Amino acid sequence: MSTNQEDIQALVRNRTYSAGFVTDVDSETLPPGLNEDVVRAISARKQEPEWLLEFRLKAYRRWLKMSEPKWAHVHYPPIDYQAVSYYSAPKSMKDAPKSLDEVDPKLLETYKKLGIPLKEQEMLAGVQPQVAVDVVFDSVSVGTTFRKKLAEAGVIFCSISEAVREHPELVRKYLGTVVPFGDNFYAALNSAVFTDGSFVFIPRGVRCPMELSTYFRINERNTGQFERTLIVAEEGSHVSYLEGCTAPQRDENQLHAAVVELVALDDAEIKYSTVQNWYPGDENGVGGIYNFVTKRGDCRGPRSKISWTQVETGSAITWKYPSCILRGDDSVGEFYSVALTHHRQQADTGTKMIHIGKRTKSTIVSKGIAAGHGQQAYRGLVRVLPGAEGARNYTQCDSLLIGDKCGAHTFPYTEIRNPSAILEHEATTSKIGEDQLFYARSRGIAEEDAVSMIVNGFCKDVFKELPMEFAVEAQKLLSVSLEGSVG
Amino acid sequence: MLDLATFRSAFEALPEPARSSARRKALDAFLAGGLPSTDLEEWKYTDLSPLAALPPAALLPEAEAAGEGIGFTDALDALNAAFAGGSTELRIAADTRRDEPIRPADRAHQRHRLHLERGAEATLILNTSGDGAFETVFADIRLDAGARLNLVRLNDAGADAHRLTRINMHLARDACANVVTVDLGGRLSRHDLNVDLAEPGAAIHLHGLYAPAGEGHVDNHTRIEHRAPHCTSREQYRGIARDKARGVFNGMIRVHKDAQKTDSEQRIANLILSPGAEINAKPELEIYADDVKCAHGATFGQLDDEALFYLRSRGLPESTARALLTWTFAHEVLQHIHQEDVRGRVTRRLLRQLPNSEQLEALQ
Repeated sequence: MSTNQEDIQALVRNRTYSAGFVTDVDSETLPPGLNEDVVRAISARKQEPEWLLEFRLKAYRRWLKMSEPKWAHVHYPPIDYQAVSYYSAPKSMKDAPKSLDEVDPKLLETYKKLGIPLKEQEMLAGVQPQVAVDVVFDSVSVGTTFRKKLAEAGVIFCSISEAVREHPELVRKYLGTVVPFGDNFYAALNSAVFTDGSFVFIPRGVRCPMELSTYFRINERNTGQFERTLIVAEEGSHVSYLEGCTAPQRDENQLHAAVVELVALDDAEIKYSTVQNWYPGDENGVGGIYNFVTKRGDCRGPRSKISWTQVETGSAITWKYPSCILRGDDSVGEFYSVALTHHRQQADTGTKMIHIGKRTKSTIVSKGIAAGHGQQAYRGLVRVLPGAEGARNYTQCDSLLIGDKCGAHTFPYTEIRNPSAILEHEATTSKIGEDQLFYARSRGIAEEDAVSMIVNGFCKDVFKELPMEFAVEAQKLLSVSLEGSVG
Repeated sequence: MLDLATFRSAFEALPEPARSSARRKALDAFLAGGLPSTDLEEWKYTDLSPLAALPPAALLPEAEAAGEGIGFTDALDALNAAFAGGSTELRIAADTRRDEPIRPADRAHQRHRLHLERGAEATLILNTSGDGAFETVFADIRLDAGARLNLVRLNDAGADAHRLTRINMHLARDACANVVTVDLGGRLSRHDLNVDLAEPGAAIHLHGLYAPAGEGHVDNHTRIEHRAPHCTSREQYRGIARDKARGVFNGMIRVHKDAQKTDSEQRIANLILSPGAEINAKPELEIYADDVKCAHGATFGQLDDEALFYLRSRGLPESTARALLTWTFAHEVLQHIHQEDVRGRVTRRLLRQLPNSEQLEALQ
């Protein structure tokens, strides 16, 4: 049995990160360091209005007074925020290409290598399913596909910098209303220096005709990516949004501190899916992305619904709690998560469900998989305020341990202040059983495939929430990340 | 930092011989360390600052020292050491069984060291139900191989009572402890229970009930450390909050790296009976071994409507039906108290808190 396990551990070590290449483009990068001038420089480069610069400066001044959160179950050397460059853009983007056809072919090649469809024709020909994509390379958005078709439906889907220029009134109305500029250390940092990200606006009663997607890529060395995404769904509208991310394989740690804000008005529904595959570092924990992200959705109107689905396989350190503020009566929040930590990866992730409105419902399904020396923590909060008559929550968090050097942890907070609330929380910890494996192998299934099957079965509740093409990708990603492990 | 002058004044008011240098040293350590602030994760929901506002006369440090030798681990431990004036030491000899429960003298501040030698058996009843406004009970309990301990901790003090209790238990090979802890009263109560399952085969069974009422605040923190393979832990806590009361439960189970074949289960159930009441619960798992069985579950809810309907259809007034169902909810924990006098007392006190429960007095 033990030799068996060693073989498997050896297989696990051979995991490869296929997105780890570097694109050789000339970049215009601000020198490392952060001060008010850098904030002003970013704002000037993006030709931003005065109010946005004010927003950034307020955030920067607040950030100076804040200290890094230390409560998460992760360990890393102190980050030197002055050693990070806060803005980097490929030089070719300076002339502002009008459409994707004018974009530097090297950049397009990058996305082709990553398997991101940017050619509308190919998609229309049925080679790929139809997804509108906004691609963000370091600090700028390279381009957005299917804009015309979306515009016909009244949907706005563009980079946030473009939205600031084209739709300032919408951005101003909603930016910072879900995650205030001083919300936490990383959100304040992001509010001060955010560069690009996506803006989505679905007008009243519109069902977005296709999946929207943003693909984030960190390329330049010593830079951080600070993207900001804002999605607003007006009354009765519906949108499904996907997000993917990768970065080159490097020995230094790179910082990624994003803020995502979702606003759902009456009867609106937002489905937000993430497949996070930032470079996780090598098996000795060298390199990898520090992923410190604030994601929050505000179910502002009655009967609105926000659903988060995340597959977290990358990053050296993950600090991420996509949350729902269930403000409207009868609003619904959902959180489905698969998080995988391997080698020396550490993840502290989970959600917050804040029940404010009457008869609000939330569902949390979290599946954590720890392998190698990975440390995995679920940290969640369910808070029921006194006015949340009839609130309902169901939480399930399961951990799967592969090997005896990893760790799986659960920190579920519950704060209940209404007698009519009903909550259930359940957590289990298990490993892949020898008997399960033996059974599969006796049926002629290779060990590696059997493990993959079992892990996929473990994650099924979450994968079934992903849009189809993403679910397939997630499954593949998981089996690559975990090749052949047993506990 | 909070002004802790009241503690010093209370100490200085002791007669000269009681103010020994060892006790003074402990007091100074407490004053230097201070009361833990709510910034600390462990104290997130419990604010001890009301203690500093108590008048010196309410603090009641013991005039007579309990024993020699004072060692302490942190500020609160030092406070208990200073006010109790040393520990009472008790040792149960190997392979002896003590039938009569150990009931320590009723002092406001108690500090105990209990050592059960190999194969010894005993029952300990810790009661902090006195009238004092501020009482602290700290106990260090050591179980050698194969020892067995039954421990009942009871707190049904009055509405103005402030209580700090901490029990540290260390279990050697195949030792077994059954613990029942009940909090029914008090203004502010914090109970820490730390269990070290240090050697293979050790087992802990933990049953807890917290039912704060009025303006009461009850905080139960349990920490079970599975340090060795083949240990078992079972934990069941039930909370009932009414009026403006607040209940806090934090249950940490940590499975250390080599603690394979750990078998651990934690169940928490809560009832909130009034709109102003609040319960904050956090069942935590930290697991560093892969061949383990660990599960925890937590529920929050109200009394079952169908059960209520059934009882009412049998002629019980609604309030009595509610009291009966609340009692059965608590009974899941109380049934594990084997001393009839203690169980009866707790049950009576619980029922007194429930309206129209006179008809249930016969239950017990």
